[in-house]
Amino acid sequence: MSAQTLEVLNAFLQMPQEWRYGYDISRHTGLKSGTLYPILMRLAGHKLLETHWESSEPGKPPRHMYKLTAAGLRFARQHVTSTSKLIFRTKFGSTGS
Amino acid sequence: MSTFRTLALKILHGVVRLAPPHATEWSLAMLCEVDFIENDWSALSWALGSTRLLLTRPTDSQVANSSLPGAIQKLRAKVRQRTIGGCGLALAETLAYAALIYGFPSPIQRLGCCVGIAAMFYTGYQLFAWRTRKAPMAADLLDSGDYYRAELLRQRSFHRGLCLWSRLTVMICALILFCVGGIIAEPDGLRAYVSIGIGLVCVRLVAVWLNLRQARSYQRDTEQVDKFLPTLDHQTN
Repeated sequence: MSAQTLEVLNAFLQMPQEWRYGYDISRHTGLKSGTLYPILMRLAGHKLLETHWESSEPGKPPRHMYKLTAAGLRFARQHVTSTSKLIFRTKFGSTGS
Repeated sequence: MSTFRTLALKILHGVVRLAPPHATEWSLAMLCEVDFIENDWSALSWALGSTRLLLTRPTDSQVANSSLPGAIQKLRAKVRQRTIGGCGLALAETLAYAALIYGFPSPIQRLGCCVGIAAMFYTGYQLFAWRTRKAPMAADLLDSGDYYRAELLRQRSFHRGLCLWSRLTVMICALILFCVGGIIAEPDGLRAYVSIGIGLVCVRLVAVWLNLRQARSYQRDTEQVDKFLPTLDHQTN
């Protein structure tokens, strides 16, 4: 799994119950739209992400909103945690022993 | 509206128009999102990123949801084309054998021609046999999946196993009878008949290779559908 996908999953884990929109995730993770959307598409394709259209203020188009599914949450917690542990071990493993 | 924003909107509208089926909703999402980006340069950068959607490939479940009706149409067109081609070839060979019946005096050769004609009729029968019912409505994904799978299996059976080897056996019998009859009737033409025999056997071997390759391709498609069907089943229930 790519570091960018982990970034996205991590962003969702910050507020797991809230619906997020693309530009918000892009600003939060620093990922460009061309990187972010293919990741979101893959997550949704694997049923890890649910999407819905939400009508916004008058005169503005509806927004496509995203939230991790229950399976997505489990997946994100498992992978983000294990990757964090791996990074921690790589950085501090040798000094800790 | 600034030039950057106008350009961004043009790019996004183009992406929405050109996006493959599985990416259409996402390209629309990116188009709608651009209205919420205040900075024009950021909006253009956002729009440029959207072109990546044109290069994405669908996941298995996205294929199942968006491309199954298209895949059915494609398969039907391919089968129709192959059926017409196969019938054309069978008809040409039947006419050739029919002409040879009167051209050769040897009864064994005539028998070979008759067996050859029978082989062509048998091939024609196999092309049309076990045809599946009419294609279901595109909206019914589960039914479409079953139909697609049944048609793939029918095609796979045509190109391998009993179907392939039985029609090949009849064709080879016709060929042997034709060549042996020719050699008996005209012992001087031994070399010519052996050459014809070897040439036609080579053609049949190439045909076997092509058939088995085709069967493998249908097998791969069937396995792909088998992966989709549980998902479709789950979605419909």
